[in-house]
Amino acid sequence: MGQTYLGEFEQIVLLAVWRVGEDAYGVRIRQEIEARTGRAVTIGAVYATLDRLALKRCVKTTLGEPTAARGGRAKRYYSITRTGMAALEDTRQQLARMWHGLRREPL
Amino acid sequence: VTVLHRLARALLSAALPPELRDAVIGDLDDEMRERIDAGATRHAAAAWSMRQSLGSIPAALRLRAGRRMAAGPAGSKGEAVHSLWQDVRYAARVARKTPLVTIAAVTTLALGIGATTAIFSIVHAALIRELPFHEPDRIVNIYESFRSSLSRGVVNPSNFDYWERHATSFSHITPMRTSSATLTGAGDPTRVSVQAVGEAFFDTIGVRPAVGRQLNDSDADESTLPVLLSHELWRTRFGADPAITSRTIMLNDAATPVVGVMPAGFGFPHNTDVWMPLRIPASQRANARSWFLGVVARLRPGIEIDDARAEMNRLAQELQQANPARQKDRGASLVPLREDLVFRIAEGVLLLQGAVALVLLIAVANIANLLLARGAARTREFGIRTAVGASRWRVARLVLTESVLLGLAGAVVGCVLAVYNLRALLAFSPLQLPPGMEPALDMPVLMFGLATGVAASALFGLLPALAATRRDVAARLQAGALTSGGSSPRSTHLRSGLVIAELALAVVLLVGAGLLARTFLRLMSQDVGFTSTRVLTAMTTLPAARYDTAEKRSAFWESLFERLATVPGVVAAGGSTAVPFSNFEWQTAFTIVGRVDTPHGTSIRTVHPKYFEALGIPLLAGRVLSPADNETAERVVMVNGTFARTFFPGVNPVGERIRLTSEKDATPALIVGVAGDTRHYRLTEPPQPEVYRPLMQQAPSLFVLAIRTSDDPRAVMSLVRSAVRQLDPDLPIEQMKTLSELVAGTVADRRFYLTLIGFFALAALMLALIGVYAVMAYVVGQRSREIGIRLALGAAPRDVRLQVVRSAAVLVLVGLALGAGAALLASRALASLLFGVAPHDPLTFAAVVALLGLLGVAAAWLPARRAARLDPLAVLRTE
Repeated sequence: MGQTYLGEFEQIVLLAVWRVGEDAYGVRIRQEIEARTGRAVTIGAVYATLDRLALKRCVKTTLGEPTAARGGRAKRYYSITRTGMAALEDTRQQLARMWHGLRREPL
Repeated sequence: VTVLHRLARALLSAALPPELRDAVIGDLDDEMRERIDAGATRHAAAAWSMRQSLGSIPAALRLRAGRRMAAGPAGSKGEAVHSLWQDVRYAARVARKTPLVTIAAVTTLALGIGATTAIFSIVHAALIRELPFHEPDRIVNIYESFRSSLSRGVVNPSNFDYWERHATSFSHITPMRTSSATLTGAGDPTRVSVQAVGEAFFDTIGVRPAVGRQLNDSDADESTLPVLLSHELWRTRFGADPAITSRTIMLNDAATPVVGVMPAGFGFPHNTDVWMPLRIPASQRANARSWFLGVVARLRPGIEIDDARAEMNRLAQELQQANPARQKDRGASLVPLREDLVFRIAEGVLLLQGAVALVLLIAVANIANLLLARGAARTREFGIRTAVGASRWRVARLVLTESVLLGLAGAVVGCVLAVYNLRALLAFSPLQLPPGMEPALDMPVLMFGLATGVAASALFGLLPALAATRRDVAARLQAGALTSGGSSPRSTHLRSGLVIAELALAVVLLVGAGLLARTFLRLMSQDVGFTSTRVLTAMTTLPAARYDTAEKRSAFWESLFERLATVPGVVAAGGSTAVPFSNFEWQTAFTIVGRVDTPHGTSIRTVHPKYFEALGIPLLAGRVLSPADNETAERVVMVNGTFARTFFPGVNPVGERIRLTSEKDATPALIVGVAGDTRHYRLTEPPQPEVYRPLMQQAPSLFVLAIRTSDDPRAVMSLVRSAVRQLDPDLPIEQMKTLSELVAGTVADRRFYLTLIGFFALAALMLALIGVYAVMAYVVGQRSREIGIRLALGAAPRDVRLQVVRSAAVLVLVGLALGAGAALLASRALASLLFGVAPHDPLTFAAVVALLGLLGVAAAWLPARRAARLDPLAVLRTE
């Protein structure tokens, strides 16, 4: 690869999918992001990003069983792909190269 | 919050792509429940969900757009687009399957939108569209104002000089002076409108000549002032000659150099033909009692009009301190350019827009009624759709799509109609819009038409959509099984409500039209004091250069009237310096000989002795002026009845003398006769005091011929023209009109508003009656089973009929009562257009209520008769 670059929020969502693992559906992903970054995130923004990540084949998605508890609405689960992991690694390296040799002056 | 949270959730659901809807909405509900389980209040959890939903909508829309693009050109357009397309195709099929409803709805709407859009094009041109000048909102007209009377007028030159020197609010300020001149040597001699302007004029308005150069201050020093032509004059009189700037034109018999041509459509301030440098003679500049300048200025950047007003008020106070006697009561008044250009018509066109909007609303109510009826026939279809899993939103969307399709069709046809409406409107409109403000069906106006169609469809689609999405699936399927067009009382209530609204709106329009009609009748029955039929009028002006003495002018007028008297068909050839309703008026001051008092004011006109005969003005006392009252005879005048009553109450003024103090010739003049009163300016104004001077003792250069003919005055037009031309081929003959046309001209705007509003009121009446008929026919159809049973059990047909008519009468009465109340409020908007009629005129209200009441009940008659004639057996057998 080497050419895939993920945007900042894409990285965050993808990392959240990775971290949550098995139970990665909308609610858990959103909560994971809010809990770790401390910023308010809308469910719509999460899905819009997941949709983009799916197009880049960084995640794959499966439908759960519809349950009565959710009013017959099935959950949609996401899991990170190898491509997704490679893209995260790529992005981190690109950033690292950009940081290389820079020294932050105390402000 | 709960309702809002549901609404927000529904919006988000609609915005999401269908395949993600379950996941997202499910997640939202999941987490809301989790929050409640974790101890949050229901309220707080719902608020959270609402914030999430609303915040997610932009992302949802992006998501949808992103998918569509990702699907690529080869793929499908995405499910959302696809399902919308499905809806549109289905709606088109429904429209085709019920052609009568479709045609009725589209036609009604198109007529309404056609009228609304045409009127809006005038509103847009007059009040909204940017004026064709540079930053037009920064241009203001400045007047001298009279504090006590709140009126305003032209400006004294020395006051202008003071303003120009001291005012800092304006980047440019320029004086203007309106006059006219005779153009010869380019077709028939004609009078052209001349505007003398300062050099700053062009920067003030922000317009440059299209050909040649603009005027500058050094031009004012030339012995013959050079001119700029209007594009129109250049085109019509000089064949758009590109070499015009190397030519001279004959203005007032002087070879006048042309320096350029202004752009097409430019006639600032009003239909100007020629601009020339302003040169104020020293005598006039010094004259403290002479007011004749128009002033236009451009606000300096960063200065608002209120700042400028404050400064001008300060300057006015300084002027007043310097010259308390002359400047007493005088201030300065700033008027934004647009306000000045449209103040005469703004109120009227807004009134028309309001009236036409009411008609459109009635049309919308009618269409809603029509669609409710069609929806009622489809109860079964909607029931089945719901039963097999269509969401209520999906069914509502289907019905709304049908409405929007109708709305768009109506709007497109309406915009086409608007083209013809506007053409007809302009052909018969007396409204004078300045150049550059001509109404046009441009893009914004057409967008308005389309938007009106969509807005209307949302209005008339709303009730049918709600009716189609009621929850009671099972009930509706049963109803459908029982009767072919089952419906509930609720839908009947909806439709009755619509008809009541239609009736109420129709009352408002009818009352408006009635009040205007009564005003018009009042005006037309005003006694003008003269006989306007079979009188031809025309104005001519003697150029000062060739007719420089009173003798020359007298000689011309004498031989002209000799010639006119011999023209076949002429009964009496007279004339005046101002005939009634020609918008000319001369004022003078006078004192009464033998009395010690301050001068009085009066209207004055110089007349040919035959003037009274030509106009049929009666002689009340003394004698009429005669040809013997000439230059060598004693100075004489006639006065009118109002003059006699005002200044000689209870006394015969014949034999008294007055001195016209502000005229050149202030020799005392003997009053020889009293003429009947005439109305001069407007039908709404009472006659004013008037003095008549004989033509041969004053010899004016401007005169309006007034010629009574034995037959149609138009027949002698060319003879009169050639009589003038034979004496002097270079004289302009202008404004050749019959006196009846002049009188009609003063009520033309009222006639215009009356005709249009009357037309709208008639349309409203028809629509409302159709509404009453339709709803009663529907009710009879709904209840045919019940009526059949009652007839079978022996009810008299007459009672059945009465019952239907009675229920219609209830609708009509409620509509009339609401409408009369609304009309009481609305008719105040008409007050300034009314004359001799109060806005709450009881007669008009009573007539409208009676008319609409009778017609409304009559409209229910047909359905009532059908109900009474129902065959009980046939009705019961169909069940």
